[in-house]
Amino acid sequence: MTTHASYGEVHGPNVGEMSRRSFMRRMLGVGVGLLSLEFLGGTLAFLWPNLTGGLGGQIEIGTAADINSQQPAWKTGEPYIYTKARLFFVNVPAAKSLVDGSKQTVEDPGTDVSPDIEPANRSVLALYRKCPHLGCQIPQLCDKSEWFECLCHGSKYTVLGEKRDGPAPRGMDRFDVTMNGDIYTVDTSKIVTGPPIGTATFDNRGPGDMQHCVG
Amino acid sequence: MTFPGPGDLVRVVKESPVWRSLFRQPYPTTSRTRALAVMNNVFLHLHPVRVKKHAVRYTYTFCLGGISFFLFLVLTVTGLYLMFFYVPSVSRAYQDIQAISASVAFGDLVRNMHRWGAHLMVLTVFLHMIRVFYHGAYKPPREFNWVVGVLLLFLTLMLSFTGYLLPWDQIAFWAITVGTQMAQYAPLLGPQSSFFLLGGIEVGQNTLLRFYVLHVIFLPLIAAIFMIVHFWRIRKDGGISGPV
Repeated sequence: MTTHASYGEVHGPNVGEMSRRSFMRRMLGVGVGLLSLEFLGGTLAFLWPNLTGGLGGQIEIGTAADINSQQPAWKTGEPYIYTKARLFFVNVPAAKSLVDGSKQTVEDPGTDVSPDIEPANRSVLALYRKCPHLGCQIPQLCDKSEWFECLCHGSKYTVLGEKRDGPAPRGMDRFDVTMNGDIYTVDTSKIVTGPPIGTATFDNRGPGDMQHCVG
Repeated sequence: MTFPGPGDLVRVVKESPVWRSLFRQPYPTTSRTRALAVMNNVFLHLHPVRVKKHAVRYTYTFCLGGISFFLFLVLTVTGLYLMFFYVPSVSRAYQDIQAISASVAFGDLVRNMHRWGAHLMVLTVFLHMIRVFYHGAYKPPREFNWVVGVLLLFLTLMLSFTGYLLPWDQIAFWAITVGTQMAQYAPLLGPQSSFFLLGGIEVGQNTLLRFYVLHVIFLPLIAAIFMIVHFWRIRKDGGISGPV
């Protein structure tokens, strides 16, 4: 408790030595500091990349008919290369028949795209073309083996992206697909890690069973 | 045993060479140390150590020059921000402007600050000139600074004119078409000056790039140099103008 000249006894703790001037000075500093932080936050928000429409966002690939008109061999199993999203868009039933030799033509593989369905039983797969080994771009399916064969270090994957040979630590990474009406839409904001080594739901051939394009 | 408290930390920081390099004298409390604080600081030394009493009379100058300079700074900062998203290409410029407004965080705010700041700056520079004229503040010894000020007015208008083309919309295109047609009527080198400014015979990609470079580097740099001279002359000619 202190005694003040005008007010007499002042209750409460002594507020210390701080003068009004130094209080104002510190509050000015605090205010300028807060404003600077706000400005910094706004700047970061402003400069934060906006990925709408490119890799990292929701990308509309098109309907099955659109894809067939772009790449007529899609209906007979050749994966559709969608450059903007760096992915192979695989017509699963057609690709399976290409590998097992039954050579069916599948104009429209359907709408079974849910991630809950086993990849081998889905209509389509969106496989990321970046090799999970060291990031090279995986070329189109090798026509001798019907596998994806990475040119850099010879990692090899089945048409469903399961790893069969080479140094890669897992199968090809992929993206979830959703239907927007009858348009296939790929969510490239989240990369789904590829299946572990040893996963073999389809195509049980080994690397020595046929000829290869690489290695 | 006593533990070091926050006071000890403050003392260690304040005695460090970094702190003593940044704050070379204690908080100024006397006339002399206040003058030194202003003189010894690169940012504060632009201000006079002492001002005349009339200098704080706001209604004499209405701070029009100061507001113009403030707007120049606002335009520099917002312009810098806009440059991150704008490409001066005829195929991209308009889409980039739309994208800044529609899909960049605070993008519409920054763009409008730049646009309205530019309009306001033309207005305040003009009002500043009128104020100086009606006070007779252009008379000796300030006649040289009046000329510098007229050049700054011209640079402000050129900055406004070059920025006008950058959105690459219809109003921009035709305004610059008309503006550069007018240049053809200049004596002696009329057609040549228009040709040089446009980078061709009509408004096109070359014009957009030329106006962009003028707008973001050349004219602001020249304006900044003239501003340095302008502010320095104010001090040399006896400080901020006031009633005689």
